[in-house]
Amino acid sequence: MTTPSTAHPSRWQNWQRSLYRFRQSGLSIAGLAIVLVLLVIAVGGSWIVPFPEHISGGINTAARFKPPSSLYWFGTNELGQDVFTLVMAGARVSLIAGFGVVMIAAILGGLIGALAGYAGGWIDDVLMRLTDLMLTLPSLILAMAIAAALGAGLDNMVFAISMSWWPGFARLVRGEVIAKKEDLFVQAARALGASDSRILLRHVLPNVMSPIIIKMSLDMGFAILAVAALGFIGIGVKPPTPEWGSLLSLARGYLPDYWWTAIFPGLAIFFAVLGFNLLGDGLRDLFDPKARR
Amino acid sequence: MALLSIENLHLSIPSFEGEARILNGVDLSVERGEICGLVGETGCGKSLTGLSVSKLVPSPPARYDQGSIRFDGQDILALSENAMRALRGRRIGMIFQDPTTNLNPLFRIGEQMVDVALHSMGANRWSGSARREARERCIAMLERVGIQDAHNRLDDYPHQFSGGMRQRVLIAMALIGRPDLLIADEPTTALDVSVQAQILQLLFDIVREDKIAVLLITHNLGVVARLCTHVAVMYAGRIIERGTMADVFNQPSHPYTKALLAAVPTQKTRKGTLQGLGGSVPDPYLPHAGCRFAPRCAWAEARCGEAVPTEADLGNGHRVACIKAGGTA
Amino acid sequence: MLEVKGLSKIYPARRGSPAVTALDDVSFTLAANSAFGVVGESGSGKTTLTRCLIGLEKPSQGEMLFEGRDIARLSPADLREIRARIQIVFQDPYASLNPRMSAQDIIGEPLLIHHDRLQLTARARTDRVVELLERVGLGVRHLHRYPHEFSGGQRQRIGIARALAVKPQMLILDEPTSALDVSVQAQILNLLAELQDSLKLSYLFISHDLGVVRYICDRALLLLHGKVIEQGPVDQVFDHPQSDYARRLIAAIPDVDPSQSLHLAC
Repeated sequence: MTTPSTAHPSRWQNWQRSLYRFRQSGLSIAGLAIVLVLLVIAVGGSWIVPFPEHISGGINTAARFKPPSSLYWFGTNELGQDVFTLVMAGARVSLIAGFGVVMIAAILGGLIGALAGYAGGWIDDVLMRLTDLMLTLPSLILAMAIAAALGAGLDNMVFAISMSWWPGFARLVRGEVIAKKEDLFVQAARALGASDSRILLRHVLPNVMSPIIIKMSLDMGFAILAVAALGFIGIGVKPPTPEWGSLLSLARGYLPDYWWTAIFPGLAIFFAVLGFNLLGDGLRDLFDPKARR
Repeated sequence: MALLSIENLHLSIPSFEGEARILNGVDLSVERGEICGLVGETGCGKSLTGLSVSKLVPSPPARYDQGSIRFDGQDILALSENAMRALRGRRIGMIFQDPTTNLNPLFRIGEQMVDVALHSMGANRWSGSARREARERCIAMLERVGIQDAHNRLDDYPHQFSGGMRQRVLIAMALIGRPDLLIADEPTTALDVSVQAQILQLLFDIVREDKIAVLLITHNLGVVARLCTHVAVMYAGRIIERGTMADVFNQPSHPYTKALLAAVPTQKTRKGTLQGLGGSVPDPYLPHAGCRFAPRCAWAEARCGEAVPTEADLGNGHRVACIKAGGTA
Repeated sequence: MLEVKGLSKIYPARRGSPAVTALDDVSFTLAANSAFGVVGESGSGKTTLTRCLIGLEKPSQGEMLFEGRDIARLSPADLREIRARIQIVFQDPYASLNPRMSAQDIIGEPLLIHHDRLQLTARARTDRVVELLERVGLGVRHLHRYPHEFSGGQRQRIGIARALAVKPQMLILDEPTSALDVSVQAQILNLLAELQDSLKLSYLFISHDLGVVRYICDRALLLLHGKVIEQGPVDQVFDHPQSDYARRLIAAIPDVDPSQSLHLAC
């Protein structure tokens, strides 16, 4: 049976109800907190860090491999740079790269998936075989190949990862569009004489946004991980720009003696991935309370 | 004592908007051999009343503030989950509205039925002889609900059955434990009228032969008129009128019952003369005083808003909760 | 107004499933300002008939003449024009309204779609939406609400307002009350009867509920496996059916009448 709705809640009440649902889960709040902290660091990092000169490649050979202390919170690396400063600065690269990857993948994959799902027939066949083809290529290898061909650097890396990322969005959106296309309100619009573009933009896409947003949040974490992985194998962002993956890669040679050079960039990656995953799960609960339990 | 007796049952479910008072003092009893129709509009609490009898309302969050449900003398609300599991499927059977969603599409009908049969027999699932006996029972029950060639159809998957046939399978599953009480929630709503007529006849025959009690939850007054011996009309979590079907339908005494009956077009109704019922079901979150139907009632007076009317007995078990029909406030 | 002649729809055989005849030589005439009922159980072809009439399916044979022009043979531009004059109200008011659009957007959408002919300014569109809301018993206070904030009956009123927006001459009513409580159904039926009178509408009323069809319609036909079994004025179809199937179907409808109780029969 359906519970009767209260006498017309306002939009504000709906928003409050969503927030109430979101707050029910402490983990989503933790995810949101981590993401917010990351955002603050990414935006304001270069002003709040203790050694801003280290970000642009400044070194201090007198202070090599100092363990964590009140001066160097996360210790220093082989060039005497403050690891805390580098990790904070790395947040900006990771977030920009992760966000870039997810946005490009969502828009490109979303358009391809929506077109395939809505048009059907041979257009669907062609686009989906293309998507399958991209999915069968190991994503990291593909990204490596593209990065190798175009050269290292932030924008090439983002492009490279996005190219291996969009098929996931294409599949998701295609499935959602096919399901929504059969909904009665879409048929109602068609019966009114609405054009295809109107049906797709006004009726179908707004109703498939929730899963796309959820996937974007969940994927942010993995995209950051992919960025770090490319940085780790040396085809990502060029030094001296600090990036978590390349910091980790450089630190690898000094384990276990100078553990702090590796552990803090590693923890940064861990928390960023965790934060976006928790937030994504929270959003899923928020958009689709039935998925819980 | 009646087989099923619900007394003054109150159920509330807390949520963001506050406490939803779903049931506000339900009084109802069903004897063996009776088919009691529970009718009312969407959101009146009829489905939750049915679920409460087999203790299937998740609690918490739901809370039973007052009242009791007695089944064959046992206090249902006090029983443990284990004890309830022993009742469900054995002594209390249930049928739900949509026959397509209540059968697992991945398993053969037989596998699903044999599981239920074994549970009802209390037998060891792994014993070969028990399985064979359970299978025999399933075949006998399917034949009884009118499925031909039951022996072979047991190995079919749900999608190989039509909607009406699937509902028959579900009825067979509900009956296989030879329950004393059957709770049927909108069992024919998803079916075509001709199939509905067959299912109603089937339920009628089963009740007459086995003397089981049935609580039939429906919004279709025509189904009640055809099948039920008794009827209870529910509004905003209370039974506002109950009695034998003939008494209630021939002399509806609560204004709400009258309004419901007047809203169904019959042979004689002329275009434009149908009596709708204005307003909507009251908000379960708002506290209230007096008769909850008063705001929609054409005969309401000032005193209707003062206290909740108690039931007045009009004779022959025909009770009505309205001060204007003899109830006291 | 609408004349359907020898309409057939055959879905060709596909791998594993034989050809299906969904409609078999269906003919009927819907007179102006009258209500015509199409009754049938699931699989009778009611839905296919509706889909053909609104141009979502092409019939295999036959004609559907709307004011003399065959709907199936119209150019896309003419079909769009016809779609403004034949509107449809769907069965399930929970599924037929886009959950992400407000009442204003939903009711105003046909005005936008047919903007090239109607030429209404944004202001005039809002005025028209308010007028429609009031016409169906809602009000300006409902303008910015979303479907989930309405009850089933109110949603169906919005569905009716949307159908009326472009001033159609004919409405196809596809089981418009079967998802509603009887008390609400009665209100919607009375609203439909009143609208038909005041706006001089013609109704094609698709339903499985004979009681409702008898109440609203002047004439009706009965479909079984795509074939017309009975056709005529409702009194004749329901009180003096010629076919066995019609007699059985009519007997199967549970009436709110204690005298037809199974308990009295034994």
